[in-house]
Amino acid sequence: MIRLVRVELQRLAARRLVKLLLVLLLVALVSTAAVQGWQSNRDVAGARAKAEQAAAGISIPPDAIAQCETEAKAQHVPPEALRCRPVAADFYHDPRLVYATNAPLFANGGVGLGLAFTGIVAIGVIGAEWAAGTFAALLLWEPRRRRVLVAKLAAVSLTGAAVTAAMAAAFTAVAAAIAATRGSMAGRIGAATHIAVLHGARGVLVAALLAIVVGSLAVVVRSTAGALGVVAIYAIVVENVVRAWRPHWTRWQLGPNLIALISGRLDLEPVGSAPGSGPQQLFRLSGGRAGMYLVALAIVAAGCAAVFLQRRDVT
Amino acid sequence: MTSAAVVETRGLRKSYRHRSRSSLRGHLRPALDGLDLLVEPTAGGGTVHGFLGPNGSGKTTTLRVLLGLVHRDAGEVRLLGHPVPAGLPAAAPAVGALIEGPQFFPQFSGYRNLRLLADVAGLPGQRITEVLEQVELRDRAKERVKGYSLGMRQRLGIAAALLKAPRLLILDEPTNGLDPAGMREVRQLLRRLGDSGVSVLLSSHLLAEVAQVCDAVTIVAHGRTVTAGAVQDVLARGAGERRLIVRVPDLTAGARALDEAGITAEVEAERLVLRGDVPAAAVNRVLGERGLWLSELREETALLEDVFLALTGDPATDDPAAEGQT
Repeated sequence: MIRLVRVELQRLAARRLVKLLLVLLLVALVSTAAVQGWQSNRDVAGARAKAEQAAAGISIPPDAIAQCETEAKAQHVPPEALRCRPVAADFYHDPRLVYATNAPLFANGGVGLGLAFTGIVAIGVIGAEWAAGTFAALLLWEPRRRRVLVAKLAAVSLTGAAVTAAMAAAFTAVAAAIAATRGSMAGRIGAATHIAVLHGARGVLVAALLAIVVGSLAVVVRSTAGALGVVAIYAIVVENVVRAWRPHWTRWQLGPNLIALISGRLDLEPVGSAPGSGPQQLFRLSGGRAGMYLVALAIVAAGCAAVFLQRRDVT
Repeated sequence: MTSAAVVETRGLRKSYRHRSRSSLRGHLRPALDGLDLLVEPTAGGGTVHGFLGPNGSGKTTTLRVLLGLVHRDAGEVRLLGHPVPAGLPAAAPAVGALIEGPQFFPQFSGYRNLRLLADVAGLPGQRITEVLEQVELRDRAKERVKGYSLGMRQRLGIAAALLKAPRLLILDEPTNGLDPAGMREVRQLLRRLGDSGVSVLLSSHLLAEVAQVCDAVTIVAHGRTVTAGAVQDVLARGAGERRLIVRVPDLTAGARALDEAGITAEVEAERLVLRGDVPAAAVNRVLGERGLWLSELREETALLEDVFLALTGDPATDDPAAEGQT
């Protein structure tokens, strides 16, 4: 079995699609580093001056200020909280890339790209094997179809997880490099790194599960175009229709659960609910629940693929 | 079931569902209708067994069932004595196959494609070199398959089938795309394999190829076996009435002379055709005595093509729609 998985990994690594996507990921990483590095600078004084200038440039009629102050007094707003005139803080934007706040965001960006890679590779490679006839050719060497399925899903799953881990780590490293050279490493560095690593680790789990789900779909559909079509229809049509038509079913959808697992939790408000209508209408998907749900979904998907592969003719 | 048989099917049935506009579920169309196939090694341990049939007769479906790619509806199948599909994992290491053209990764070199297959079975690299030499592809092995000609791909497919050093080789039209020299090389290779103890099941529509290389043959039509046995036996069985072909300068005078001697002759396409057990020497004597000197006198032997057409009917009547799935 290990030999079969190793062969599948070799086949996968040599695919042109995989190489092309890896190059695109590298381009994305480099361009992110370039853009973020160019935007980040340590001219805090200059940014403050600009903010003060912007605040001073706004003129508010005196009667409006007077009315604001009167209303604030009536509402017993403390003087230090009184905000009837624009202040520089309202216009200040820290020009530095701050690692403590940006590291988790960068890690999430890397995870997102890793997941896109995983989905495309899982569908593209398995679909292409059906189209090229190499799936059938492999069955002449290993007639136990379930073993072939497990090897293929394991290969795309391991590859997706590895690439997602690498992307999360690379993007976090880019954030650290920019912050150290052109930004700020102030704040809770350890906590930010911990969150970035946590998001990356969850992303790796999501990539592995996503590869199993969409890879199983490609095994059932036996076509890259068909599987991509199913994924597109589900993501664009089904998720949105269900969200609008049966809001409570949203908790069973793939997208929200993927996000909840990566970020640790996800709060969902049904479409059309009044803002602040109360916690009873708010879904909270916890990371643990989303993880268990996605694991169950992956098992069901792989099981369906195994049954289809076992029962259907390979022509 | 015969224990010595390397391939054995009995009453094999398989239908495919064909969808149509009139019916959402479609209707079942039989591809195999109780097909029997028996491939037994000769005393030398190997054999080359031809599997003949017109397009759509069920040849490829049979091979796919043998290899576990297609599930049968009914019947029994054994490969190297193992029941299919349950016993396939035990049989597969000794079975090499090439079904409906070779399937390779076009971006990879020929060597790398074989390497990937060899790794599945844990075969050493030396074996890849050996089979590449066998099919005379060693010099082009490092080139990408997408640059290969059809014949080179076919040879690579045969190399892949040989990789496991199989006891049984199942080949579906292995000479497709090969030039005459390549076809002859493959035929010689198959014959050598057959003589060296390998059993080869050769599906082909090239009757001359089968007649030249095979020890035995099974002819199928409409999913059923119409005849099977040693090639010479099948030819003898299908030969029908013995015919003597005679060519003389004056066909009418020749026919009259033979008629007077009590021998019935028909004029057919610039020659005289004598049916039945007519001694050639008597014909020669009768015509010679009347000064009708023969330019040709021969006994017409049945060709496999004649037997094939006689048994399977007009190929044009086969359903081309079924071709893709058989």
